[in-house]
Amino acid sequence: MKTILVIDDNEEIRENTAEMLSLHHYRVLTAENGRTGFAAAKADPPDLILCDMMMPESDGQDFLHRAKVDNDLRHIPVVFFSAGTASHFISNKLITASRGFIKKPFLEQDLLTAVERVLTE
Amino acid sequence: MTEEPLHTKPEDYRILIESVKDYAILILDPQGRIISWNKGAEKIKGYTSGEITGRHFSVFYTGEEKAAGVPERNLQKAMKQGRFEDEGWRLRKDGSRFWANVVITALTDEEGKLIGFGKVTRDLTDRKAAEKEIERLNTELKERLLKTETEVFDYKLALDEAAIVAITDQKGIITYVNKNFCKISKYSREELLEQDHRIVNSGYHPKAYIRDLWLTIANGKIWRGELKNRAKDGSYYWVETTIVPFLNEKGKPYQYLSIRNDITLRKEAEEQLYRINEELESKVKERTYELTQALEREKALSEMKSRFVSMASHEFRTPLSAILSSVSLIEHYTAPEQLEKRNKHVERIKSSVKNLTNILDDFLSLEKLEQGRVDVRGTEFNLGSLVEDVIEEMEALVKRKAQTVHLSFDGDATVCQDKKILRNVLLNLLSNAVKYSPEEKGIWISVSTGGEEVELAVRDEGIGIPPEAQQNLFGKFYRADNAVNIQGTGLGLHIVKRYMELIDGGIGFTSEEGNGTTFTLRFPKRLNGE
Repeated sequence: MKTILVIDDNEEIRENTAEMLSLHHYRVLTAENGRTGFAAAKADPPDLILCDMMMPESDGQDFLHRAKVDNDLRHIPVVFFSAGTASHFISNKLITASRGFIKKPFLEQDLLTAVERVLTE
Repeated sequence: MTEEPLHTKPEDYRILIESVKDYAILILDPQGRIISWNKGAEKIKGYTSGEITGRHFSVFYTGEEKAAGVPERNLQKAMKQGRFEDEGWRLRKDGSRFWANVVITALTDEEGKLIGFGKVTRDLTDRKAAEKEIERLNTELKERLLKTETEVFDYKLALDEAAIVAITDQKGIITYVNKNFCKISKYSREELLEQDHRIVNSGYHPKAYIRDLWLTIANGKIWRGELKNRAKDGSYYWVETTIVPFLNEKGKPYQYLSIRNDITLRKEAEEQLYRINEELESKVKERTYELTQALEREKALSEMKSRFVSMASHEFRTPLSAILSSVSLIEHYTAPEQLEKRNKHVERIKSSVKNLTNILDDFLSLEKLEQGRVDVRGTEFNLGSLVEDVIEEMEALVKRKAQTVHLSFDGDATVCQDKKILRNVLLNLLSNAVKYSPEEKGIWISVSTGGEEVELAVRDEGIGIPPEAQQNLFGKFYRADNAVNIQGTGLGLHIVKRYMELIDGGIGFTSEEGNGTTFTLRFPKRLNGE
């Protein structure tokens, strides 16, 4: 069973996403910002990380920076949720470092397709 | 050798007389006929002894004089006075004239009887010519001098008319000034003569400049330059100056002639031009600065707008996302025993819709406020109860972050105000306190209603407001730098401030970054004295 870490500051989205993934037989961990997400990933390295871009205290970029310099976490694929037009938040580095973007609000099917694709690459 | 008295024999005299070439020495008989002729006579008059001896001496006289009987008269005079001297024209053999000095001496024997005349003639031609030349030169010189004097006079006149002129001695004492000098310096001639030229000194020029001037002219060289001088009444004038030293025979200056031109107007124009230029430059600098500032403000506003658009997008998409995923999940929970789960999601959907609605309401409130379409209506109600209601409304969020809200109320709780507006304001302030404070922190609401005014403070221990952000806090769409990642539209405080104005109140705050914030509301207990 694959493990997925969901990082999002919004409780409803975090819980709903976790619930959705559990129903499709994934083991799900959650965290509410980049910092706590990093700690959770270190403690229990997942197979995939779903991460929101805009979060207080420590956002998506911050998480990515931390993860990419960490030996344990650099190889774990990261997919970002984006909920804004925030094109200027998405640097080229981010685009190349991540494995994709899921735009909110997303359909259940879109989420699952993206997850499966990345996990089987 | 012993001196021997000179023996002068008649023979010696004869030799002497005969030999002298510069003087014509003749002896005439009592009638005036020539009986003796010397070498000098031959040279001067041209006749040889043989040609002239026996002839009357009047042959030497000019036609006019001969006709006038001058020769005979001269002899008479000589006879009477013993000696006659005369200067006049005499004729040579070739008929040419020469100017002669003639001395006729009557020769008498021991008894006094006339025995003849001695005539000594000197050719004064050269002398006469020289005299004539001198006279001619003199006249010429006089004419030239007169012409030069006239010319000099004209020059001087021209100079005096055209320029400002002054003459000083070698020590710098004024010996002459012309009319123009008096006019421009406003001193009278009397006030200037015998004064030191420094009387018109303005003190404007650096000492080195003046020193250089004196050095130049003291060395006999002409100095040219511009000078600022001071007139009698204290006003200033500029002159373009040429100072010419007059040198004595030793080459040292004995006086200085200064020729000046009034350039005050030009200098003033120059100064004005310079000033205008400076002003222009500083204006340009100012404008450039203003423009740069404006541009920067534009940029900042534009940035803020795009940040707002991002944020708004995020604000809408988040609840929508929650709704969509909850809907998806409800589709999964079809079994009757999954009712709880279904309800959970139904509630989630409802609250997300509420969220969305709130955000929309914010936008619409702003619109309404800006259009001036907000009705302010005062009703009597219990302020304490209102605050408690608001706290209760926020309970879920507060609990989620394990925060605590403390309320203290002091004074009469009854107010007559716009309940809706106050509710909105309180909701906003409390929601901010919750949002911007970390978990487990406290929030204090204190109300006091003494007198005509209500004072309501909301204090938190949250992230605080950085100094740069404090100025713009109530601005439309404004988000402080330390708040960008926290959900918010930047409209809340702006709307709050406007609401407070509508109910004749105001809002202030104190804050320190990292150390929390206190917002204080003040508003009349009774709206419009109702």
